[in-house]
Amino acid sequence: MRDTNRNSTGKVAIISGLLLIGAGNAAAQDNGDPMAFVRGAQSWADNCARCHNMRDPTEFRDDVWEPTVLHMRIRAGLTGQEARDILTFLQKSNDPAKNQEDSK
Amino acid sequence: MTSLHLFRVTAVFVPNLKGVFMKKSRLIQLSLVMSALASGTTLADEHTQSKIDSLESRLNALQKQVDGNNLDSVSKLHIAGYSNVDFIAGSDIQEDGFTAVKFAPIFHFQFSDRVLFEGELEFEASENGETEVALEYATIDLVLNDYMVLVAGQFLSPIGQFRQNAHPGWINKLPTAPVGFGHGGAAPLSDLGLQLRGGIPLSGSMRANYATYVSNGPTLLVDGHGGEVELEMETEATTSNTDGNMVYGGRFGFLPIPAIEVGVSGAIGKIGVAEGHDVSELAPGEPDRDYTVIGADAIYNWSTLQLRGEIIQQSVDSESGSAIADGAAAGDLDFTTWYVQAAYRLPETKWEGVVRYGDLDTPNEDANRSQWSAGVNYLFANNVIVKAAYTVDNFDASGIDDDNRVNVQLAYGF
Repeated sequence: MRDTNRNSTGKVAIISGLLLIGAGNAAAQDNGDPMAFVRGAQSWADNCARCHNMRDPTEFRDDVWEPTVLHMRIRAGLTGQEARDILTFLQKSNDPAKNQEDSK
Repeated sequence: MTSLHLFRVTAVFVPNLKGVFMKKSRLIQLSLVMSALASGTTLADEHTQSKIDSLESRLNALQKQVDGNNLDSVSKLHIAGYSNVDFIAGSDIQEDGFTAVKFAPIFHFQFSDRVLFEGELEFEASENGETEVALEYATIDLVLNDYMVLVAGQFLSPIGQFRQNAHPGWINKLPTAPVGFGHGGAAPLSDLGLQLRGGIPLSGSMRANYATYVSNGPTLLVDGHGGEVELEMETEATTSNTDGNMVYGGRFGFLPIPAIEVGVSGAIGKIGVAEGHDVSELAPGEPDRDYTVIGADAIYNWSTLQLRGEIIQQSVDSESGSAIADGAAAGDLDFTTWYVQAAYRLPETKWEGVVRYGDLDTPNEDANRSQWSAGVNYLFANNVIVKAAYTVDNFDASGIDDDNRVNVQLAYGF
């Protein structure tokens, strides 16, 4: 009984530790990082055609790209930073008219 | 001064009243016209400005409406998936005809940037006209940090690459799965458990990824009916972990450069033995067996050329106490499959050629075969593809003829 309790306590401690390690970073934002788009374009080119043919950034709206990129982050084993950069690139690349206006 | 003098004086100072009147009249007319034009221009300007103001007002209202749709909500829903329709001709095993229609919706429910539910269903028409429904995977994914995601539920096996990343019709470059990588083959398909996975940045452009898991594990099926004993690894996820054992495994992928990924996979544990095809009840008195999986995979992309290959082996260790089917399953049992594939898309075209060679080796001699397949694809778009391939199955058993056939598939990933 005592050994079982120690094992259970140990497992709980490990799981709690993992969650605490994760607590701060998951929601980090890159708003205003001017290099995010550049990094995202590179990450997109490096990773997003490894398994399947490349999908056009204009295929989806901004809000649709979010769960899509999160799904692909998990499936392809990308880091959180890579996923955020790729999302920035896709969301800025999917509206040519707005991008022209932003660049004026 | 006489009147005549006055007349002459008058004549001098007002020489041509009619002319002056004409000039004045023209001036007046001209002034009126210019005035009218000016008024008209002013009116036109006012009218144009009024239209501009109206358009601006409508545009602002439209922008407010778009903003009000609140596309930037905390919860987001996205439906993706794929579908394919298959045709076969020339097979010695089955008649020519349309052999498959599959609809596989994939649901993504995201909450903030920390939680994702992802699930895939498969709807397929069956041989007897009914509809088969299967759960391919369903997981709740918790983002712990930039390098760790906890995945809980039924997941596609992370052993190797094909099952997890390349099996959808619009991604697989041939109409069929590599021999041994489908249902009833040698590669694990799915499992129910817990994963921890993520990416690891290394130096420069080098990176790595990993997936570790604990799960219910597969079951060894022993079917001794009909004289011949058939042994099969049931590797689809089940909720009945009747042996009470867990399987622990994972995959580590290394990318020395973005164009290359090499991976190694493995799993260990103990599995139960069932009789027939029912995994919910183990064969009475049959001991659990030691189980291992080893795998390796590689993929290389260079311009429009893709090379890939995998090998996976599931092994069940011998058990002297095994009595099922008169001891037919007592020895070491290996289920091995591998393939190599090359695909090349002609630059600046929508055409792609693919060749693949693979092999399946199991304890069931009648199932063992090598397979080569050569095909041509046309990509209407990067996610809409029609594939035609000629495939030859060369069975190891001398009494089984080769099966040559043409497979055609139209696939759409959405």
